Amino acid sequence: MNRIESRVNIRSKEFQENKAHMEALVAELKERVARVKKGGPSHLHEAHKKRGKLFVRERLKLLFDPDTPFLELSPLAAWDMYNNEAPSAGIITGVGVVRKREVMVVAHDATVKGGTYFPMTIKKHIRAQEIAMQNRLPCIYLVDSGGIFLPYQSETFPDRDHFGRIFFNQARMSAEGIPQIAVVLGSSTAGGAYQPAMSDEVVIVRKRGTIYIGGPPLVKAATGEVVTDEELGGADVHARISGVADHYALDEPHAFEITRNIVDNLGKAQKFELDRCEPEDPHYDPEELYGIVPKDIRKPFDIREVIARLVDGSRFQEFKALYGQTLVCGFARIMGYPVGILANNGVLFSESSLKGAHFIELCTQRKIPLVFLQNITGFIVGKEYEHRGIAKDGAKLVHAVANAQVPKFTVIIGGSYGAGNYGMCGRAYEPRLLWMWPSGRIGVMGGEQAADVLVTVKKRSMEKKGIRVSDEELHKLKEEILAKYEQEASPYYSTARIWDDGILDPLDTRNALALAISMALNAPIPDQQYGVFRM
Amino acid sequence: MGDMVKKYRYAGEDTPIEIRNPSPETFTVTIENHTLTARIEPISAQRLKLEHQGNIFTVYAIPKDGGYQIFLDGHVFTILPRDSGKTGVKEAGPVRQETFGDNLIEAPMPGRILKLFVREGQRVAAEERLFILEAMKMENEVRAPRAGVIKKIHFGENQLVSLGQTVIEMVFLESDGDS
Amino acid sequence: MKRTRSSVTGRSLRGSTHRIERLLIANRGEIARRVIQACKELGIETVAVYSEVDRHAPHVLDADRAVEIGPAPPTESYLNMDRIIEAAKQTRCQAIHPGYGFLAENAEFARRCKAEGLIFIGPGPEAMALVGDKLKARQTVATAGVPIIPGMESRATDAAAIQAIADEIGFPIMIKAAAGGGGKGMRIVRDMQELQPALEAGRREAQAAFGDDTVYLEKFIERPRHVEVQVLADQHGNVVHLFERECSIQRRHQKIIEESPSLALDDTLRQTMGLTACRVMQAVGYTNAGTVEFLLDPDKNFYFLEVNARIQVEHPVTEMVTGIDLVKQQIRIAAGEPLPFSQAQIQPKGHAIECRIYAEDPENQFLPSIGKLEYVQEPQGAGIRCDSGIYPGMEVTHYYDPILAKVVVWDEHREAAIAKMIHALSQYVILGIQTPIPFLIELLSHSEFRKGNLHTHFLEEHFSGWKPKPGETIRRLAFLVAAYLDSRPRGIAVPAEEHRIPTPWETLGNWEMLV
Repeated sequence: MNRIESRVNIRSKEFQENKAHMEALVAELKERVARVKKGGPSHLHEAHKKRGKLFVRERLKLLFDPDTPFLELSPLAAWDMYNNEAPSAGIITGVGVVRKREVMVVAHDATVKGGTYFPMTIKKHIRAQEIAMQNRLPCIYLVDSGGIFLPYQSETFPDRDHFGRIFFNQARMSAEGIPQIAVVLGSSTAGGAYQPAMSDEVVIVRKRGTIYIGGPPLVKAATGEVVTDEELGGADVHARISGVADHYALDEPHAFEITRNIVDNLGKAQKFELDRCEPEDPHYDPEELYGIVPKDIRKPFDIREVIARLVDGSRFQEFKALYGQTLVCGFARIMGYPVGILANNGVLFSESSLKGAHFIELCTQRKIPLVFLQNITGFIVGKEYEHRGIAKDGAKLVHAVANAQVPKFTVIIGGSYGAGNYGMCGRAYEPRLLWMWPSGRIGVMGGEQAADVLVTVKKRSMEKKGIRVSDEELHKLKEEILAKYEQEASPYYSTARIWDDGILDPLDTRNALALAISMALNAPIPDQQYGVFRM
Repeated sequence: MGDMVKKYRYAGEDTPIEIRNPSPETFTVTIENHTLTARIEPISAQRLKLEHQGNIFTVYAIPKDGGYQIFLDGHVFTILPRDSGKTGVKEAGPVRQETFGDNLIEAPMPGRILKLFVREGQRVAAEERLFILEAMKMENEVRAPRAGVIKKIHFGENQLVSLGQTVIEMVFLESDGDS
Repeated sequence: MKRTRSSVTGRSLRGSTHRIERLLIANRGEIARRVIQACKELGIETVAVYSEVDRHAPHVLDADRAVEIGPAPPTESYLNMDRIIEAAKQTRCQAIHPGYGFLAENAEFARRCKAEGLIFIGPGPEAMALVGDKLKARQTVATAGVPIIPGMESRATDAAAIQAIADEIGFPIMIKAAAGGGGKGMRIVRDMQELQPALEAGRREAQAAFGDDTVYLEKFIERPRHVEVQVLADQHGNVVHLFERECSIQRRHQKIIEESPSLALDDTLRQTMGLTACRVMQAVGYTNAGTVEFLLDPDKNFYFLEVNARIQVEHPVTEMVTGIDLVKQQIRIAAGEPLPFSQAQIQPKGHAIECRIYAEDPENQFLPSIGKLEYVQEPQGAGIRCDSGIYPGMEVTHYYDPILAKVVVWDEHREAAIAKMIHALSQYVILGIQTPIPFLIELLSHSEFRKGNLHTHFLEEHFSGWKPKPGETIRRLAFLVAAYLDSRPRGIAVPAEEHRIPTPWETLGNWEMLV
């Protein structure tokens, strides 16, 4: 395969400015992640420790094989939400390695409101299960939760993707042969009691873990019976009497030892075989990624410069290089795994959409995973293009993306606007994982355009009613809309709401993608089937 | 991936090689009107087994000077690819104007001319930036498809252009051998 | 200690007056390894010396001990007498073997070793000084009735005197450095006009190479063969010869192919030249192993050239046909043992050929080719000997003699030996730098070489401007291989079933994003 020939001048002023800008963004990101990784406030940490319990991140260390990677999901979930009282939404999720098997872990952080479920906690939990389901990853739940955070019950309890979905997913995965393992390290109350109860195997820690449908206060209120936690649903009750738990652990380290042994007996993962090569570092220094993405994302840059710093040997076999040039398509390898890359190099035209659809067909036919690098303001607009049928050509791309059965991965490195987000495998198109770069921006359209549209609409509707709106008012309205759009386009706004699986340091992208591809191979790649393409 | 032609240099001469079937094991190429098919099996990092018309050779090869040094049947060949890294990527700008003998640089999409980099009468190299067209929230660079001279500029900065309108007329110079 | 060995004194060198238990090798590369091998077989401990860049060189790894003696430039290391003698004393060596090159023919070094009570494996300093001065050596042997090339006994420096000598000898004339060998300072002059510039150039080169700009003139013999006789002389007055080696194939006056026996000699001439060689050594009072070089003209007249007071690069050829280990004999003689065989007991058998493998580019006037040896695979098989000082990953620098290895073969007769050598060379893989292997294969296949029509200008006559001429199919297959390698992401990657490539989950360690 041919090596991409970089034309970046790393000594240019522009490069240096971009680099300084990206470094500042990454520094901010790291600082924020470091902050949420501390979990709840320090007095709750102390109380937790006094109860003889380990902090959730220490638990993960005991669970995972030493010196193995951890692909954490959405660490900044609930960022700037709920008065910032729910760092990481109070739950740690991610893929790690236990006894050489890649597993999905969902672990409550009891230092955050007792590990209770905020709306985003549920969304994060269900997202982790969805990933586990798509990639056939055994699930390990480290349970230490008081159930639903009651002030938010209306947003957490009854709907399709609310609390109940967690147990539905457990049942479905168990049926599909995806192991469900619960380790009860603290409370597992009310609805939460179903987490262990719905699992294939349950470990419980003596004098720490409790499982019950109604806690002592509720029992007293309902029947007048007075019981202690331990009598009601402690380890001894469930391991010896009720049979709700299967393994009795003396303490937390013992519980993880048992859990690791359980994984040992799951058997070896049957990984789907891709044609793998010896991994090779990119020929160009990935650190240069910082200087490539412009400070102002409206400025053009050659997306191949990004590809050159993500793929093995910076080698890229480009497809239809001379056709529909605003969408760069081609084959490459990431740590030896073959991938088909679709990357924006401008607005999507009919030609670029057709090319993308064609290329996706190649990859699905050959069972090659797809990587989407988004920097897209949308499909082209205008009379000429509508007449030429941009809608149906764009639809072909969306169609191909939606139906592609190969593992898909999306990285939003710049703009992600309008239907461009859809054509380039946005969240709704079920990429196995989707990340943003700190430079990413999401919106139905750019703030500027949205403000113009909204101001025009407002002016017209007022005029119809015979009311004249002053220019000053219109200006003020426009400013407000711009500010709102700017805030909502931010990657932090997106990641807080789990529209993505996390914000990546561009330098981590290659590792994250490689781990993700390897993870995805836990599930077979089915033969491709497509629907009807409108021609 | 179909047939492709690559050029290699050995002993001071460039030789085009048509690769017909780059499958992992059998390899067919056409060189100087001769088509050769060989079975190749890698043995170790520097060794491979090559079978050609029933004859077996142990071939040793290392990367050298961007190409390879190859030991084959007592001969040592230093062979360098002549087009390394160039076929994959030919242009840098996000929008490239393809022309087929025509010398009009047209607006690739409707938008506003944000900046003009050239004046009439100026000589430009292939791939040199001509103007920036702002459209769809993006600044799109338009570059010269070939080397030439700017004959006429039809629009000024900040003017709106529609799709296909001629922005610049160029006179292309001799074929610049780019391809 | 690398290996427990029976006490050296227990396996002493029979009848020796000096006991050698530990020996320092003041050299590097293949010859240092050759000497180490001989020592190990004799139960002698070995001490290698090395310069900074040779820290991991094979001779260092082969030896029992090793001492670093200085930076890469030879004057600061392998030519640094103080450091070498100090190293020998410090490691309590009794003897020093100088190999060839470096200090091997430095009489001052031999003298200093003696003064320090160290056995120098080679002739005594007096004999070495005598044969080292080529003018004196010729005068001495001429007196003993040995034929010499006419007209060179002069140290004249002024132009007129030199011209007079040149007139007397008659053109063509050869200019040579009095102090050196190995082709340095040599010039052929075909008429009076060329004489002065050639003299100056020769002197400059001699000064640079040997620190002595004395040159001498001699009759240049057209199309001569270079035939030399190996001699062993012990300290008890016994002198034997081990027959001849023909070394006519030379480039830039340096041998690249040597063989024994020479096709040019019949038994009578062989005996005459052998006895003459012994007489030369006796005349100069030589002990240990040495070589007497002759030129043999097309009419089978031979002329004494010089004495090489060292073990020679091409000594294995003689070892192969006589079955005598010359390096071991050198050590035994130096220790004072008498020769264990008489002239009559030495019987040559079969035919041996040696090819020298230099780090040089045969397509580019044999200029040195330096760089990293990326891949090395030495030839093996019955009757094939490969003395080498290289390993994969070794850096070939410009500091030292560019000899990498010697391939030596033995077979019953010359034709079989040539076939064997071609086979051996075809198996010798050295990648990373240029070597003359393809050139040597073609040379050995040349009809004139096969017929034995050799002379010292053979290469100029048949191979000037040589370029490799691989067969069309082989050349095209090489292109095919290049295209194949290019089509693979990483050159030759071993198929998956042979080794599973670990997943990133196994290789990325404790990676976590954003930490």
